[in-house]
Amino acid sequence: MAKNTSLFVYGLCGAEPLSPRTRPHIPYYTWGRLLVIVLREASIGYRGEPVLRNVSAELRGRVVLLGPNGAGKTTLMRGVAGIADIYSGEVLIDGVSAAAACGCAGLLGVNLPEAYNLLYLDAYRVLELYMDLLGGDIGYALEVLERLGLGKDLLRRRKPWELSAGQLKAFTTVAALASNAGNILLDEPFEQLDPAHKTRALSLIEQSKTGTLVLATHETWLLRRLRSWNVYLVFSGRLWGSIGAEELLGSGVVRGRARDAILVIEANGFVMSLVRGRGEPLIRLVSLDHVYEVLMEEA
Amino acid sequence: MTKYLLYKVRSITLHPGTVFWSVFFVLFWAIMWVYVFGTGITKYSSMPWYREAVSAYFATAFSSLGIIAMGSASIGLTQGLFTSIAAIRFLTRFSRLSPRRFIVEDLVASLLSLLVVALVEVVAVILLVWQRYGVLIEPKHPLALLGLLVVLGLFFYELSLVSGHLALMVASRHMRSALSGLSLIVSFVPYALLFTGSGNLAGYVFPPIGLQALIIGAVSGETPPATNTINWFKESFLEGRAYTSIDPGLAMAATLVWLLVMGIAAMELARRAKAVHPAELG
Repeated sequence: MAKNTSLFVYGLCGAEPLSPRTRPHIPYYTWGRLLVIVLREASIGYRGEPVLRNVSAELRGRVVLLGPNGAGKTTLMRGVAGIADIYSGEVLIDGVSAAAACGCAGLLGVNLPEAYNLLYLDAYRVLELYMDLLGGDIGYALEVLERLGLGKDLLRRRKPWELSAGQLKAFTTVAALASNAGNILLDEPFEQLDPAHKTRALSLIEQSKTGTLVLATHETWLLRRLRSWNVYLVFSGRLWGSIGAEELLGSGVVRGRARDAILVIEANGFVMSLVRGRGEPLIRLVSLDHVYEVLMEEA
Repeated sequence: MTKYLLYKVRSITLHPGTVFWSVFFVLFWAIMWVYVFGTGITKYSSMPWYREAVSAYFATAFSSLGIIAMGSASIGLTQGLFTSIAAIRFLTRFSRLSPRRFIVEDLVASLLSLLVVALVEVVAVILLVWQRYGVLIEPKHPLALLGLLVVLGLFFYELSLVSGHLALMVASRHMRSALSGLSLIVSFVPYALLFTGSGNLAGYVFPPIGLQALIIGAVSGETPPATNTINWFKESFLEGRAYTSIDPGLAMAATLVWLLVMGIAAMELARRAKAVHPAELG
């Protein structure tokens, strides 16, 4: 215990004390080169109950996690961010175990609102605090927030939870992008944003220079703007893919196992195939939440 | 040092709930002590020891009210730990706020905040007494007084950690709410025992009771018994009858044991803590 107090005390970094040999360190030599999030047979959840089971994926470059609401996209991100527990397998961020990472500023940025619910402060001070702790660029964050309709005065007047849902999403997304982290996770960054700000936020994300950027969404229309990105489909706590967004754009959903399927997905008692050139075009669903309705109609 | 320390102090001391319950609400009782409960002491105004008597009597006021203020502020610490656990888990992994830094800064900030609310009560009572009775309370052992307040702050900080982690472990909202209020309930125990006698044992078993007696001792120069302090004041301090005071060494030793046990309990609870779905955190 005494050997590894910083990891052990408060259990903030990993559920179990680690021996000095397995003590994680910030791999400075890999920064700017590795930039990858690896999940190996990872089971992630809360209060001892996994939501995702035995998930494996390599998230590198620009990645979309596309799945209906409740599929486990947010839980996956929480697992990577250390907010949800990893029960088995491992999650590595640039080679550092997410469960055992300690004080690794610059490794990961997230827009999960709960990650910003720390103290009773106005939004401006929250931003100041987080940019200080994450090593982010407050000047950039304020400039972008202004463009998204969140001026300094408004931030000083309101606590984060007093912002509208869309404003809070914009706030946390900008904070994540301004964090200068090598890997950034954005959970539903466009949810409840008004259309004008949605377009601005999308441009902002496209311009990001970060190494790995993972965007979770249920909105299939986004694929049109993110053609060069890789997509993992998420259903019922499992991942399928990866597959290029461009390829998905020309695909449709059909019930059952199709011989010409590019992906076969089994979830919630349904078997569906993604096939090129036929079926209900994925893009026409607008939101993947509608996929089950389509499958029910087909039945 | 990061900005966390400064902003944590700001967050606790400027939270409307903390300001109301640990400052204004307790101030109301300070006013009641000075202007209603304590007026009987004026009949001794001709005595040569009047100043000492006023000091000792109102030391009971600010010690007990200071403890209640700390207990009330600790509720904020417990709830803060509960609502911010997701942010703490993220930041200790992926920011400059490493666990070690977090523990140190959180402890220092919380202690400072608890001391601020306790000192507000101490200073308020001193000013009110000076205004009402023309006596400026001057602690006989000011450093001991400060040290005792720090130890009390530590006690409530650890108590808030233990109750916060227990609150995180239980799924029932009602149970969580009760656990959040634990420190305030605890802080009222020494207050209640000012008026009732249950011997000195209570002071050794339960630190806030013993510490309250020691605080009164640091101000008056005489250590009272752990319980029935008001009676001690009347019979022993004013009338010179014999009494059995609390043993300061034993009381401090018992307090240190409590601090050690609660510290270990907090660490163990945290180590065993499972992630809670953020929707549960409110």
